[in-house]
Amino acid sequence: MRILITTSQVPFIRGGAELHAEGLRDALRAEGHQAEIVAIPFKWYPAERILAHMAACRLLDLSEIGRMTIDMVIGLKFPAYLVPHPNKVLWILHQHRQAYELWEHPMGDLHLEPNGAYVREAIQQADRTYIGEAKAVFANSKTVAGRLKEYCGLDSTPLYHPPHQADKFYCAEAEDYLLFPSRIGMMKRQELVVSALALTTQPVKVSFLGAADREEYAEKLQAMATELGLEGRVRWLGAVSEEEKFRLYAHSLGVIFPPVDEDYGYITLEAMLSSKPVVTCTDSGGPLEFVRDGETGYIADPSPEGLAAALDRLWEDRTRAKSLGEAGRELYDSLGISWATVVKNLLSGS
Amino acid sequence: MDPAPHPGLSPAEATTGQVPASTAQESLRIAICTTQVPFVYGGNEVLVEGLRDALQERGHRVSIISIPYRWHPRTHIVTGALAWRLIDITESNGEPVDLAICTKWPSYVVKHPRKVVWLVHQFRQAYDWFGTPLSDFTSMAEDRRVRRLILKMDHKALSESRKVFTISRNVANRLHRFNGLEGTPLYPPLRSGLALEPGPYGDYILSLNRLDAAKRIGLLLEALGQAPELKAVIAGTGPEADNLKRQASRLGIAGRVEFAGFVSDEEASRLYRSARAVYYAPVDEDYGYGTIEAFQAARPVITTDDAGGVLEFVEDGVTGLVTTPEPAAIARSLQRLLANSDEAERMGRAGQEKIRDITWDRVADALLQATG
Repeated sequence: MRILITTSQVPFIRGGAELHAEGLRDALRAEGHQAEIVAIPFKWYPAERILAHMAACRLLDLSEIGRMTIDMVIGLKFPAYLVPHPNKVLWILHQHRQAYELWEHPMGDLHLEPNGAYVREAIQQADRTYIGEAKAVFANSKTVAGRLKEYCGLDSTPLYHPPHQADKFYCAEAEDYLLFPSRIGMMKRQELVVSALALTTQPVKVSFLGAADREEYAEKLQAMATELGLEGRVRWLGAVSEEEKFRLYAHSLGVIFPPVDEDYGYITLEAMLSSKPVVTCTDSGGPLEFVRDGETGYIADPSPEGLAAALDRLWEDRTRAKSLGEAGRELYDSLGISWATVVKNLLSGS
Repeated sequence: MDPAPHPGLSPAEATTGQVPASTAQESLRIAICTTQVPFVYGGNEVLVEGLRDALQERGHRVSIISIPYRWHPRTHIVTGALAWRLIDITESNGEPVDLAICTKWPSYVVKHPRKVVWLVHQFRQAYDWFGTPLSDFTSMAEDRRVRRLILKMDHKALSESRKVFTISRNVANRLHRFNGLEGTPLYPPLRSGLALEPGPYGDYILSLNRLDAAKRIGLLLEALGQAPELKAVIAGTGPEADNLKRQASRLGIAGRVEFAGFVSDEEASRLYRSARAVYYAPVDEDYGYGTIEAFQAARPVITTDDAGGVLEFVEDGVTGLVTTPEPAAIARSLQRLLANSDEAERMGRAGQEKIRDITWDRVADALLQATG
């Protein structure tokens, strides 16, 4: 089949969503299909611009290009998943979150814009109307499926996919650090971890791996750590090579991943692939689909005290940490997450 | 992507942000806008990727924005262009996009305060193809309306551009004739995979083209039928492949014509490096990479007086031979260069000299200087 994958892009930015689309493209090609990515730019401010981008996506027609028929479209991200096609299957990474769970949330800002309420209504209306056009709707995770149901009344099937280079993760002898791999930003809550470190009874050490969304924010966090007297207990590694990332996972004692309502979260899966326990929070979204409290990691209250207690527990019993990590790896293996399964599901939906 | 990476940013503030001038030292964020043709890798993709590499080499950040375009049936012609108008690429994630370089219709319909168009071609069915079998536009009211809209959009979108470059004088001439707008020819260099250092002048004529009717390979076969001493290598694939092979058998020249099919860059380079001359006579080509490839390898080009962009480089008797598109005339050109390898070399070298200035450095300079 000739298949187009439609997704949104933020020009000059490359991240997990790009890897996701490329992974799907490669998996479709591996199954003998012709597949290509269509990445439509998306700019979400001022709020009215969202409507213009939605309209642009509705105006595109991908059923035939030149004299070539396109057999299927797989839509991934808002608003690119609104593109019409007679044989469309959606695999929704996330909706426009500011119109839903981040409405009137400290991390959102659509509600602060003059026409925010109006735009939010238009987004919800478009989602309810046009998502329904699809032959089948899959979601990136149970978390995303749950939101679709809660806010739009739409049913969808959660469909997991493996992280990029899943086979490269390995486990080695644990050293004295917990790893927090994520871009540095408010949604990932490095700040909460720094606050928790000031409260731990154990000498817990954390290595923060990842580039900052905004340099000022990273500097603020570093200053905060210094002020709290955490020198020697925190390391800011920035962005590192892939090889180095695998090594850092492999030698960690465990992984910290406490984001705010994450859609899916590769970090959890990467930790499990590296046989490492994961500490997450009760409001972290996607990670909660994988982390089992006391079995493959710990689930803490999203407070400095709550998180500090979980970090202490992990730090003080290294043998336990090791066995939690091994259980995480077993759980991953039992879930049957593979690109072949993804392709089979998406194509059976069309 | 976080939904609100820059909660504190006022959009108005960001739009009026200072845009740096394009001096060589500053790193700009440059969007290259183009039309995506899924599952096809051709001249436009070569151009876009070459431009991206050249700009990145100068330390700029480049993002390619590529959107498919449906033009059939008629109603999509306008809506597909309108989609480009609605997409906002003036900023990305709170930071200004300093420059937009747009190539094919309808990508240049996009709005940007610093837009430069490097026009690959317009929607030819509404222009130079109109009234020919290549266009399915008729004189019916609806068709006339759509044509008028295309002209209007072209005029508006291209007038907004800081400057309009075209990939050839041929494309600039059409722009002037149909839209009354000026375009400056800026010739695109070749893809980097070719290695065309000139070798000996062998005994075969090379044609390396997509095998479709517009490239007129049939005319070459007819000419070979009239020149019994000539050999040719015809490389490339396309819809006419079977017809051409049948034609060669019918003309009784199958033994002198080798159909090489798809060739890699390496094989293509080898074929160019030791050909006697290159046959390249497409119908009103926009630009014609074939000429540039031949000249880079210092091969003379045999072409016709209706070949469009090819004629911007091939001068009769100087860098190749130009005749009417008739088998007998082509046969005479072929025979002349086969008889005299010194002349082939002299013309080939003159061609090589002629394209010396077609470099990515020059392209990047021109596009960046246009925005001041």
